[in-house]
Amino acid sequence: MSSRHLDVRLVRGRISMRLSLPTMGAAIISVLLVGTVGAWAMTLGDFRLSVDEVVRAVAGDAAGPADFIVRTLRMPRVLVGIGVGFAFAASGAIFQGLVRNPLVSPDIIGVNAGASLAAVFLIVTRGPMSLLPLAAFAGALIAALAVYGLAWRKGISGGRLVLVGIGINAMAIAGTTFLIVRFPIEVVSAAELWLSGTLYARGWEHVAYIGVALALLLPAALALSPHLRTLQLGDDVARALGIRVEVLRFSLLAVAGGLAAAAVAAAGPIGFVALIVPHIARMLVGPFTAGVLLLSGLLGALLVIASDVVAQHAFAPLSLPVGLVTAAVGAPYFLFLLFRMNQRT
Amino acid sequence: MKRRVVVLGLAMVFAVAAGCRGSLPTEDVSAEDPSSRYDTRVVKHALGKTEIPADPQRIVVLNPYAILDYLIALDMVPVGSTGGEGLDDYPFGYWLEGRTDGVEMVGGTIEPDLERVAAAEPDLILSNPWQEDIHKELNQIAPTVAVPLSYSDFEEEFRYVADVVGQADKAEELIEDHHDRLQAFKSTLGGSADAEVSVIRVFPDSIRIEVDSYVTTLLDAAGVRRPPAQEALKESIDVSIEQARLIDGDVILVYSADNGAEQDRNERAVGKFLDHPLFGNLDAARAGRVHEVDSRLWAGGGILWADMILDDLSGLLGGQS
Repeated sequence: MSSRHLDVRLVRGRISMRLSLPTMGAAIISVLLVGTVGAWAMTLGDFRLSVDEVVRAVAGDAAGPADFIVRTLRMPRVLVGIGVGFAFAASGAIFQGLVRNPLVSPDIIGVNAGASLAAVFLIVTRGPMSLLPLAAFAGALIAALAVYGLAWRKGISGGRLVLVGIGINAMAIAGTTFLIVRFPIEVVSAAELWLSGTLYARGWEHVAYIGVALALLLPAALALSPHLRTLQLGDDVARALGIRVEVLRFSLLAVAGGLAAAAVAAAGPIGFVALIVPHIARMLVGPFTAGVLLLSGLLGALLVIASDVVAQHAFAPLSLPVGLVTAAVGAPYFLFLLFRMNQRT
Repeated sequence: MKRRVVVLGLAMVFAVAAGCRGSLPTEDVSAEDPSSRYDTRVVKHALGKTEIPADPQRIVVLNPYAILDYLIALDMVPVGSTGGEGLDDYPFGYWLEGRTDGVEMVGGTIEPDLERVAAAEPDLILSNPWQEDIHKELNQIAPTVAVPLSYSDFEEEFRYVADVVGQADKAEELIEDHHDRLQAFKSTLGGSADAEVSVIRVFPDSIRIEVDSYVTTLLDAAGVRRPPAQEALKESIDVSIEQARLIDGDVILVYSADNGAEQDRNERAVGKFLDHPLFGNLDAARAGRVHEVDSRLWAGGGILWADMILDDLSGLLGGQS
């Protein structure tokens, strides 16, 4: 792969990048696919619309029903799907690169579980629903901080981080289960729906949450990615090359945790996206780079909106939460991965 | 290889664009402004205040049990209602079968299908008090009233809904008829008038003593006595079968959590209760006065519902001494 690169120098050599052509190609195709599937998703439903009716509605140029259906119902839903899919997958890619363990993801080291605990608590105590994303985000961050704090012992090792994360995850899940068992079934049903991760009733405010989060965290992630690669050479080598190891690790964890927390806050804990998608990206184009991070994000977005199309329309008139479909796709793939890894060692 | 993939991708985009054909009603729904055609009034509801048409013609209701019951009782058949999830046949409240012709199903009760609600072109939407998350979207379709449900005082709820749809007088008539029926019921109780009736609902993991619910409100109004041990309870509580003292009474009425969905799991729960080794500890069990009642009916609510429950009760209690 070393021959298929494009060297870019801008601003009189002050910005210099090496872009991998296969990665860029895959990324461009992913963008096209995301656009296609997104547009197609907006044509589906009880009101069937044609692609140009959708495009006109998006541009704000459509008559009554199409305008409401596209701009209030379908468009925010697709945009949130793209946003959270991107954020989850990017978060997973960073975690897996940082911990150098392909089985790690925010799903299992407490981020999603912390968010779930906070959200379910708010739902069963009949708190104001408008605070739900905030509560979920806070829960995720608190869990992430707890994991980081407890795993610190003159530094962070990947293995310890994962173990502590699994412990915090278990505690949060226990707490959530307790709430579900203890509270009456009418409130618990609403909570169970949120827990599977759903894009139902996503509005423009959710688009704003995930959009702002991505706008802030994605550039940071991309800027830190080259340093992550240096870190992968080992702590001592990285230090010798001038990297402040603990600061870098904290920053990366903060960014990855923030991405996952924002995604859970916007759409609930959609499982398996953060775990599986980075694998697929790496399988296509190779080990972690900034380009792989972007590609993971795009593939994550594609997975989520494609799953949502299946979840919404494959079993009409019944509408499933998107988390069920990603689990149905992700779990078998995950087993297949384990099987393959077992075979290699 | 790469070029082929890119060409394939572009071909897909064009294929999708060419293949889709849209179908859209030509009417412009959003141009119907209720305030320009009918009188409107402002009502207070569980989630605030809304301006609604004084004479709604096309109502969509998001609760296929009590609220649907109230509308049908008032002869204001809605154009759309949500339905119980997972049901193959009749999706609305079991006791309303046969009276809901023309009511379109607009999705499940927990996740109403907003597109179908919009397609029904309502001029008024009656929603549940806990549906805060879609309240804004609903209001963009039509003025939405979140009915403040107490899940126990159905007469008060009935009056509220009747007032919202402009049928307050008719509601008072129907409530009076209901009171007459309650009187008639009391006089048929005979020797059973002193029987203490315990109502319990069996869930897969627990037993709930019904205290502050539609059923118990109706029983109290019908003059049916409750076990003294339950008098101290303010609301329904979940207990285990070991708490026989709380569960027991002269008569026990048992039903499951089922209101249509998950029937097998819930029927097994009732079976487990009736077969439990500790079941024999209950006085009512030893006297053979534990009756299993149909949860599809008993787990509901409403004014028409109340009359059907009274009929059931007459059969179970009436004429026994």
